Formats: sequence, structure tokens, C-alpha cells
Amino acid sequence: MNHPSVVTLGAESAPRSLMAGSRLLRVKLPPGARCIYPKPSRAGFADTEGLVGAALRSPLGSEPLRARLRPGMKLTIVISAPLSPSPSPGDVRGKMVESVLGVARERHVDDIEIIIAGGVERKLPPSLVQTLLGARVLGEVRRVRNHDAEDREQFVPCGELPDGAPLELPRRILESDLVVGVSARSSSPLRPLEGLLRGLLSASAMKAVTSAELARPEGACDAPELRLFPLLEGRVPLFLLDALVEATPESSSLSFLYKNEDELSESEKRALRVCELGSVPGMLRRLLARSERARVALVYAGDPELVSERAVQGAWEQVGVPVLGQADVLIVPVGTPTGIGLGEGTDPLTAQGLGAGEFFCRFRGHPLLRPSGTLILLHPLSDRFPHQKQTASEAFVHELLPRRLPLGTLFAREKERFFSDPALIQMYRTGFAFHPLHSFTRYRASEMARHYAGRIIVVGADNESVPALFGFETARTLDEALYRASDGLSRKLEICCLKEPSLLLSEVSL
Amino acid sequence: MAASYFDVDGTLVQTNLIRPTLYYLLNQPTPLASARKFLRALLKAPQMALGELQDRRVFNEILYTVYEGVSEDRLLVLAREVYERVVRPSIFPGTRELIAKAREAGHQIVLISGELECILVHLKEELGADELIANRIEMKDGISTGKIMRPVVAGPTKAALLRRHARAAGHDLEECFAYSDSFSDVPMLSVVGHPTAVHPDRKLRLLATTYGWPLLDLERAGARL
Repeated sequence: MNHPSVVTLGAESAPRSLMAGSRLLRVKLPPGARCIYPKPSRAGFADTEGLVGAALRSPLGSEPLRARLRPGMKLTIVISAPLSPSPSPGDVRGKMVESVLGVARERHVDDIEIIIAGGVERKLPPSLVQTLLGARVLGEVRRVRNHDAEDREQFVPCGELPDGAPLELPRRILESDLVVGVSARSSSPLRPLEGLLRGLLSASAMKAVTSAELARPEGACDAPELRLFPLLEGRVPLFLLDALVEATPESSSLSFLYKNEDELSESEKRALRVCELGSVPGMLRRLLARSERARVALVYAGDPELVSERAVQGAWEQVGVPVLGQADVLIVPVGTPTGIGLGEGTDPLTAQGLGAGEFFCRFRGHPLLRPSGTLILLHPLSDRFPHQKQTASEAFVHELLPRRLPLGTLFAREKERFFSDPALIQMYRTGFAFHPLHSFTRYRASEMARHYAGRIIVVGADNESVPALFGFETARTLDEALYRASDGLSRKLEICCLKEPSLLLSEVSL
Repeated sequence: MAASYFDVDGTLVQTNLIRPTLYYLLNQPTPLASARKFLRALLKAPQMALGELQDRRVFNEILYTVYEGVSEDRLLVLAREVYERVVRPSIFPGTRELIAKAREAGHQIVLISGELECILVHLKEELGADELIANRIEMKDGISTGKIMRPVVAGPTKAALLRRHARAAGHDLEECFAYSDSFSDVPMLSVVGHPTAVHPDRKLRLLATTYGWPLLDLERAGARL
């Protein structure tokens, strides 16, 4: 029997409304198609401080934070990127840092530094740092900085990759008596520990890690990523603090966007019609996103390996949906109705990395799509990149992708050229732009789908050249894409559609 | 091997061609001589403004006529002073980082500027640049004639000089970088594979945004938030 979040559509079912970039597409799926909805997440608690305080007092596999702090020590707090969930007012990470600072104050720890570990992502501008951490934290800690993967002078070798390449972390991290990592998630199945350490690497170490991971067989992107913490051999005294934030708040003003279309109330149907009329203005969506206060459901603290394990388990328990059987066609809408990623999620490189990468890989057991099946992405893939942030992405798409090189060859050839471009690196360092390595990471995210799926078709694309650069086909309508997917198949197509893939994890059994 | 070609004024340092010249004008042997020189230069201001509108080279030629009659040794002494007091304090915080990154990438570092060579030679040393392409004042019997020696480093000529330099050094222009702040340097930016606008003027910003050229701000140092 199907899980309540897996809805099999009938002939009378209403059309589905799916995000495609900043628009809502209304599509009629054939009877028998399955649509997977986010399941109601566990309810969050209003008392974030209380939850964090309890976790700090009773950590997993570690002494309480209070016992690990002493006067005169060096304490570094590392905020993990990417910035999910959105740093709307009251971002939980700011509250978590406040709690850590409270304990540090009690223990008379004065030498405190906060590092925002964005790795090769763009540095956070001061306004976003303010939103992320809040005025109280910034008023208390003077030394707050974005991690700079290109500041060669700050890095110290601290371990070796399997191929002998050095791992490098900031001197401050290695000289600290305690490093407290702070991360938050609502649905990400990735280990917070790996995200945190990658966010602190030097660019050259990041290149070495990428080379090591590319050495794996093609299409093996579903294999666990290279684990860095064991390679550090205990040189980083790390205490991890991770919060699970409720994924789909029932009180959200946009909750109708996550619901089964057959079960909407009249007012919700009207609201949906309005949203379908056209692109929801970015300003309005940001306002709606800001009006929501994501609440914390669970907090884990302590030993980084144990916390990582429990955090991933917590994410699966919160948003994991059991699904029986794979599908011939998987429909993945790309576009998030709320959140800070709005502006950043719309450039084509990011969109393909999300749709054919992150969302496609959110499975356990087996992929939702059958081998050689058809992956359908809904997104315009417009050839537009915000210039100040995405110069490197634009150059990557238009200069490197037309060469059509295998991923490993492309990386090896461009490691010392494009990925070391002094102008693009300077933009990353001082211009709040993404590092050129970031564009490669985004592109690489979809590599598994490129090898696994028989074809990837984009519906709703406003051009053909950009999808072609990614190796995708385009179709004007979903019906056309489904018709092409049925080519050569003697039986009825089995279709699976994800309503909001950023809030879903699929546990697929055959 | 590739090269990085850097315009200087407004790109790597906050000065422009006028500030060093003003320093020179205001530091004549006597206050009276300074006033006389300054007034004479002031009379040429409208001509310079027109020249700038027409062609950066004309502007340079008019500007440097103020050096007419200066002895070579005095010019060198003044150049050192101008460098120490005007140019050096105006080096942008991010300049050294950018040059270090270009050096790490294995690039030859070349400064290319309409400023006088005798001033920029000190900047070249300070930044550890490999080569300098800049304007030189013509000397006759050890005295400046106030004329710039050909080719005048400005506008499209910069592009020709850059091409010539790259050919002689065996660089592939497609692999080379060029950095400038001014729309007048678009020819120079256009001949390399990696053009970059650094605190660009309005017209260059528009062009850089349209064509996806990187935009840099060297007024911020990298390690800061």
C-alpha cells in the first residue's frame, strides 16, 4: 500500500501545479501517474534556546560544552554553509551561536572567532551576515569573517588525501582549543560534518579533493563522498551542533503550494490560480518567506561523527517517503516557492545542478527512476546569470562546456587555468562572487543523472542552446516530453512526479 | 606562458595622470615659479578637456607640455618624490593580492600606462612587475622638450603595444589577461582572452556587464568580511 504522501492520480484528478523556475506550471498528468508530496514534518518548538541548551548539556559521545570550555582558551565557532534553511529573521543558527556564546561567557572564554565556512561559495555580504547571526551575536563577537579559500597565508597542512595530496585548513582552526560547528537543515540528507569541513578547505585542497573524487568510476556519484574528518587524525577538536528545522510549517502562508491539489479548500484553489497567472514577483515571495519563522524540531550536539549520523537519520525521518517501485519517467520541478535561494536558484547552471543533481540523488535504496529512464526537468534554463555573482558560472557554461570534454579531463585541463583565473578569484575574494571551482561543483552534481538516465528532457525552457550545452533535450510541453519518453516502450509509461523535491527524500524499494 | 597586462591609474592605484603633474607644478623651485606654471597649465585646461573628449592621446600630449624646460636629473628627482608622496600611498589594498594571484598562475606581469615611465619605474619595483610600458618625455641636451615620445601609450595604441609585446614574448593573446578602469582602454581589453574591468567608469561597467567580463574592486582587501 502506498504511503499517504504518494498519491496515484485518477482520470478525475485535478491538474498538478508544479514550479518551473519562478512560475507555476499547471500540468495534467495521465491516470496512474504517482505524485509524491512532502509529508507533514514533525512540529517544531518555539523554544529554540531551550532545545539548544538541553543538547549542549547532554551531548552525544562528548562531555557537555560547559566542561569543554575553560578561561583563556581559543574558541572558534564555524557556521556551516550552504545557507539552508533561509536566513530569515531569527535564523536558527544565530540563536544556536547565541547559546554557545552564553556558555562561553559563563566560562570566561574571551578569545572567540566566528568563521562562516562557505568554502568556494560566494562570501556573505555584511547585510546577510547580520541577518544570519543577528545583532546580538555581532555585538558580542568582534572577529566574524567569511572563510577565504584563496587566502594562502592562513592555511596550514593538516592531513593527507589517499593520493598523498595535502589537506589544508585555516591556522585558526588548528590552533583553537575547541571548534564548535553550527549547522541546520530541514531536509538535506548530506552529513553536516562533511559540509562543514569542505567549507573550511583551501582552494588547492578543494581541488585535490575533487581530483580524488573524480578518480572514481564514471556515474558513481551516488557513492559516499570522500570523508575528510578521519584524514585529519584528531587534529581538529570539534564539537558539532546541528538543528533539524521543520520542513513544511503548517502555518506557512504558502502551504497550499505543497498540498495535494485534489484536497485544496476553495480559498486555497483561488490562491493557486492567482499564482498560476504569472511569475510570482520576487519581492512578494521574499516577503512571504520572511514572514515565516522556521522552528526547530530537534537539536543534536557533541561528537561530530555521531551528530552527523543522527542528523542524517533525523532528516530521513522528517521528510523521507517510502516509495514502492521505480518509474520510467521522473518529473522534477526546479524552483522553490520561498527562501533565500530564489534569486540564486534561477541561473541555468544552478537549476540543472539542483534538478538533475541534488533532487535526483535524494533517494535511498534505489533511484526513483529506472536505469535508462527519462528524467524531465521543469525550468526555463534562461541564459541569464547575475553578473556580479555568477561571472565564473557564465564563463564556465559558455567557454568550457562547448568543448564537450569528459568531466575528469575538463577538470584536469582547467585546474591551473580556469579554476585558478586570477580575475575570477579576485571577484570571489572581494566581490561576493562565486569561486570558479563552484561552477564545476554545480555542473558535476548532475553527472550521475547524465550517465544513469536514458535522456533528460527540459520542459518550459526558453532556449535550446543552454540545455544542449548540459546534454539535455527540450520539449515544448509535458505531453510532448512524455510522448518522446514512451518511444520504444511497449507497455504503459510509469510516471512519477515530485511535488516539491527540495522537501522530499525517497526511500525506494523494488 | 601568459601575461597579465595592468593599466595603472585608477586600476592599481587611486591616482590619475593629473595628480602627479599637479604635484610637479606645485613644487617648483620658488612659489612664484609654481604659481606661473600652475596658471599656464590652467589656461590649457579647456584645451585638455576638449582633447580628452576627442582622444586620450591628445589629452596626454597637452598635459605633458608642462614638463617643458625641466632638466632630466630634476625630473628624475621629482619622479621619485611624486612616487613616494602621491602614487605609493594610493596603491589599492587589493592590488598586491591580485598581482600575487597572477604570479601564482604563472603570468608575466606587465604594467601598461599613459603615466610617465620615470614615475612608474618605482611602482614596477614595488609590485615586482616584470615589464613596464609607459610614456617617455623627449629630452634634448638633458632638457625636456615637453613632448611625448612616439608611440604615445594611450587608447588604441595601448592595444597595439600590448599585441606587439605579447608577440615578442611568445604569449598567446587568448590566454592573456588585461585589467583597466577606463572605457578608453576597451581596445586593449578587447585583444586579450581575459579582459577585466577594475572599478570601471560608467561606460566600461555597462560593457563589462553586457559581455560578462569580471568586475573587480581592489579597494577591498580579500581577507576582510
